[in-house]
Amino acid sequence: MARLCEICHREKAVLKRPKTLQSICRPCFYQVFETEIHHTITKNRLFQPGDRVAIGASGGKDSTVLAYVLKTLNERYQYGLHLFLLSIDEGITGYRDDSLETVKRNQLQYDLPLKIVSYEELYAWTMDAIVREVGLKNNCTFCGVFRRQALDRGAMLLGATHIVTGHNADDIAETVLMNLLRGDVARLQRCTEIATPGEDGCVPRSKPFKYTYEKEIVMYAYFKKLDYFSTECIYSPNAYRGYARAFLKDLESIRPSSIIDIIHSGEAFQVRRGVKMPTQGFCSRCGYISSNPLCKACVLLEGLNRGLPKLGVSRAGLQQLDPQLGPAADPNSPPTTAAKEYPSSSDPSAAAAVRTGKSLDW
Amino acid sequence: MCDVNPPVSQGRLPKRNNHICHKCNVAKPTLKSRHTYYCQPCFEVAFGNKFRAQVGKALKLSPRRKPRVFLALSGGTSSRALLDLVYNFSKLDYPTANNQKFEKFIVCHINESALFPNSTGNADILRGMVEAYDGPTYDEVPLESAFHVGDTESNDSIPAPLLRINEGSSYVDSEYLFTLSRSEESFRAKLQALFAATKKLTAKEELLADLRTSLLLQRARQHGCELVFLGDTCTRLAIRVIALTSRGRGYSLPVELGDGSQWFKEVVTPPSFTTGLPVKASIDRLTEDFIVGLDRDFPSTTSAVTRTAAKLTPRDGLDLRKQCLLCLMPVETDIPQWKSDITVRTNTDSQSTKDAQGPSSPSTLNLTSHLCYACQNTLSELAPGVDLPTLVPPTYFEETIAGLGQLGLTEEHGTGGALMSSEAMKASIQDFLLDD
Repeated sequence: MARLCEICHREKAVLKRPKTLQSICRPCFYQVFETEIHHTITKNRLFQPGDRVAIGASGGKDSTVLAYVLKTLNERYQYGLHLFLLSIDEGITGYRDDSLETVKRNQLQYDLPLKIVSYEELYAWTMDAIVREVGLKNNCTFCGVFRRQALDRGAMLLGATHIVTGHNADDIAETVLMNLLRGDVARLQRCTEIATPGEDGCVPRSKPFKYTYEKEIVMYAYFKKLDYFSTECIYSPNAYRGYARAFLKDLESIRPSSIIDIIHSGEAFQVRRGVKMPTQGFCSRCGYISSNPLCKACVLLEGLNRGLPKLGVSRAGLQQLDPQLGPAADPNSPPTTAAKEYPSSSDPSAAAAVRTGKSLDW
Repeated sequence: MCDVNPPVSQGRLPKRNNHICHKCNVAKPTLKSRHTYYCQPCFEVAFGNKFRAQVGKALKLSPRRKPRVFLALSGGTSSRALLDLVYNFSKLDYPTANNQKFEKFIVCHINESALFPNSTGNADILRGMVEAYDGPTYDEVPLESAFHVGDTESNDSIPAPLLRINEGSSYVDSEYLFTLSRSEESFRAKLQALFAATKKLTAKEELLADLRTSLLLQRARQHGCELVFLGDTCTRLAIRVIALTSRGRGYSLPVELGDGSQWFKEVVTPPSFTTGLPVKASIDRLTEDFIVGLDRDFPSTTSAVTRTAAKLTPRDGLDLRKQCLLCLMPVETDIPQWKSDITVRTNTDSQSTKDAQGPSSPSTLNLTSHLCYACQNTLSELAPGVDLPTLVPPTYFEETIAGLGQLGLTEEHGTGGALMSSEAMKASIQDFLLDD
């Protein structure tokens, strides 16, 4: 005899929830999945009515499900949000161009406005060009740093008051482990926060899937037959993160609650008083928040434009930065003086694009 | 660290002659440790000196201040080496047997043969090993004495209050119900029954660690020792940091590993539940494999992890007076709330199913708020009906139960159970209470 759903006791159970180990039916799964996200949104007061929310959309499962669920919840609970899809085109042929096609289909399916910002417009470099320059080893550093800023720039251009990303519980648990392994206490304390406070000219960001298992997101997409793109980036994934990811998957198979347990641990981590922490300032060149006089994106861009791609990637690379730019490595010098000392980039067009968004046609 | 040709690259270190000991420049090297080649005698001297410098600095000893020292000896490499190092340290300025650096030097071994029959002979070997030194006193304690309260050697030792897990306990509802139990079985049988109650090796390892910690602590207190030496290496600590994090123990990690805290650390014994088993046997086993493997490719991993952990502190608002009844670690409040905020288990239509359950029996103790997050996880992997020893001091336990009696009628989870008054509660546990 088929097993009955442990929640409604009426329908046939079709899946076992990784999070609670309950066997439940499809409608009950949709119900609990969506309600959990609704609770996360309301308990943490992520949105205000009238917010213009940009959904970071890559075309992958997380952002596709996020867009679908947010649209559903916005209608069901009348959040009063204006939703947009915001995609970043890193310029990776054979990967991002395909996934952007998915996003464009989603735009039609969910009837949400879509904006695409490209690395090429913002930085005058595509990832393809960057990889030609730096090789396959550290290219993820460029991509990650640039994407963070690109999302903010895109959101500002959209007039968005909030950005949501599809980071799920697995991603956050993995980040907790990564920060422990790398010894990054400042990020260790920050990485389990569900939302960044959008001060200092930054758009607030949040992760409504913070407590949602990746497996359940895949299940949801599978049962709802959502259209998403699933291919690994062609520029090999970060090796070190790969270790952490594999470890996390193994942990989950030993004890399924491990993912939530790690987040629980991460939330309890507090840095002892007296431990030196980086102070947040602004980049003297582009004005983005940064703990150094120059933000990471500007340092990386500077390296690319000057033909020193190691700049900002390795310690040895930083030493190549000439003495004039040296204080980029010194977290203590105040950004205001830095602004006087370091005039604008050697590639004014890219920097100007970063600053004003003028060269962007929307 | 003992491999002459490790796969780790030398990085930016200057090229040195690898065919000669870097210390004495005479002998052929037998091992390489941290990019340096040593011959055996030079390594022993260097290692001893390093230990002496670090311990000497940490302990701030003087001829007037002679501590009573307690060393936990599992017989594994780390604690065995530690015994030798501490012994040599104690002899440093006091070469004769009756004039010592320490007022008292106890070497304690926990005999775990009740769980690991293969290790039955270990205790005798270790006794001989310790007695070969002049000075340290060997103390052996069976693991099952965690079920005792008080001095295990004297006749007036009392069985610890036992908590029996009730059928109604549930991880999903985050509700842990117990009854006090009085089993007439031998301590050894109780111990074996406890470990037979779960197939999950992670849960077994957690229970074993809790029992060891509480026993060592109890023993050290009985001997009046103020210093406890444990054989945790940097690698082992890094493994523990990641394993504790993975089990949700972020809240207690700073007190468990912080070297300046009043809390304690534990040792790892050679026979374990996962010896020789595949990597995915348990969280500890997996983490060990992960860290050791990572450290091979990225040699700074272990020190980065331990240094990071040392920078952490218990979160503001964590009540450090409140101890978990099982592991003695701090307990966070609002765990059920945290869990229910992030997990939906019912739809509104069938919300009533839980309330429809019959009232729980009058002797039921809801100890959810006295168990830490990670122990709740462990308990969810134990079968109902098994007896757990309470590892907290008896007076603390008595206060906890008494406090529960007063709060009982306004039980926060609304199970509808008629909880007993504090007098009735006290009467039911009378046999377990100690006279002040």
